[in-house]
Amino acid sequence: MAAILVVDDSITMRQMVVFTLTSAGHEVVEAADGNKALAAAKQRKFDLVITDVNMPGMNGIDLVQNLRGLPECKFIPILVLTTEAGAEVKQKGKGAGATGWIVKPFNPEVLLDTLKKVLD
Amino acid sequence: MKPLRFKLYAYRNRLLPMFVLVMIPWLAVAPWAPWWAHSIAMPLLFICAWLLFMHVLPMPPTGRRTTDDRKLSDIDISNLRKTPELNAQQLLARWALMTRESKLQLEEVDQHVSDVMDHAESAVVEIGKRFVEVTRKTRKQVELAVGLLSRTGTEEGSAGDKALDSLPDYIHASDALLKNLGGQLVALSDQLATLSARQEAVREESKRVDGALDQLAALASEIRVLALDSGRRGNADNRAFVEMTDRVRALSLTADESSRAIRKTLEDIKSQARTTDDAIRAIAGQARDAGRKSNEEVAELTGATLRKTQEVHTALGEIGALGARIQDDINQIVIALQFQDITQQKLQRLKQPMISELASSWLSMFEETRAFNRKLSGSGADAVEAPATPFRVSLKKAPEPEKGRAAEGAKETESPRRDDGSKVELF
Repeated sequence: MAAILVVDDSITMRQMVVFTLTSAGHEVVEAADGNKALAAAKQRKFDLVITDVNMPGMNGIDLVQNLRGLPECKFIPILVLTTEAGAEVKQKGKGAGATGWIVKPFNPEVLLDTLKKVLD
Repeated sequence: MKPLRFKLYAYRNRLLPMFVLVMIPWLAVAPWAPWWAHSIAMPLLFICAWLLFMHVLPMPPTGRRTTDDRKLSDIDISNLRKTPELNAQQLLARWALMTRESKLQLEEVDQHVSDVMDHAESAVVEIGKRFVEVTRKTRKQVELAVGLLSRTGTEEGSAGDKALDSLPDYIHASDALLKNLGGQLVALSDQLATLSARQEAVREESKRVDGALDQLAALASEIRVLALDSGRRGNADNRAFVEMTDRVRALSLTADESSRAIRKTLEDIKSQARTTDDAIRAIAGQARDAGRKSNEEVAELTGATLRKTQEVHTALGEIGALGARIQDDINQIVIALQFQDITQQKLQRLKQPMISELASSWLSMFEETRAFNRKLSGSGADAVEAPATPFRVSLKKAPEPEKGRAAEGAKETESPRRDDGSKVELF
């Protein structure tokens, strides 16, 4: 099972993701914004990061870019989980180093399947 | 239609001169033009007039835009306020425009609130239904599992009064049957040990028969010798013949006793053999009965256990299917909760800047109108003391409270899609 960092400013959405991941046996650490996520990523190593885009402080795209700058997060998969579905912002995420893009609302089964794919 | 109406309203005092100006050239040539030129020129004239009015004539300036762009200084605004008669109509027009746009914005907010309420209501209803389904299925699952392990049925068992219906009952019955079989086998073993002792006794009796037969063989040998001896002595001595006769008689008696002893021994052996045979036959019968009974009971128990195993298999299949449906319901609940959360966030991002902007705009307009009202009512001194702050009316989006949030609020004005699956794209 993987250690996963979940970043979202909405506590409801965070709880949904955490519920889904912990039900599948993963270990989950939560962060409410990009700065806290970055601090958490510096403290320990994660196998995967799931982040929202629109957050106060540091947004998701900047977070992905900053995480790719950390040696311990250079090669881990980073999934963006957001309501944004535009091609432009997707391209920004891809350019920042995101591994995948999931549009909210997410289906728990689809999320777990995607996790399995990127973790394998 | 809004710009046209606004222009018509703003240029209402100049419409007539403009109309005359446009018509003069046509009127100048009209008396000499043929009828077909009139029919072409008239529509073209109106089209050109409309195009000029809409696309060439500039949009009349509004106080809101002017002050937002900071093109007027505070002195200009103060001068404008000193001529209230000229600006009162413009203010009222802006009031009307502002009110209309505010109304539209409020209607938009109201629409979003209604959407949120609808989504929230449908989400709550959906969540409630799903939870009821989950509860019902979970209860059924538990009932199935408990019933499987501790069911008390009505079917009667063949061996006793107690009904066998649950899996533990069958396990206990199987255990009892095996214990009974073990006891019967122990008893059978004891009986076989007794039988072995009797066979040993038969062997001892046989040894005794062998001894008697040896004696008989010796007697026969002696009689043969005596016979030879009597033949050799012949007629020599009668006394010797009598003596030999006595000895033969004695031997004959001994042989007779031996024969009786042998006969008795044989009778005993026959008796022992019959007893042994009876015992073996009885044991065999018991073993056959026990085996047949055990076979019947084991067959019955095996059949029942197989049926119960089939029930267990079916129940486990149902439990598995219910588990899958419960998982699906939970997924639907998760999606419904996400919809509610997304919608709430959108409303929050949309509502707050719009309401605060409307409040500040109305407050500015109110202050300004009060100042003009004082001027119009003749208190020039009050007008001078009126606050000379520029208009702060603006219909543009309010300042972004947080980076990224307003952008999302502006983009996400549509309601969230009511689909059930997330869209995934791996780069």
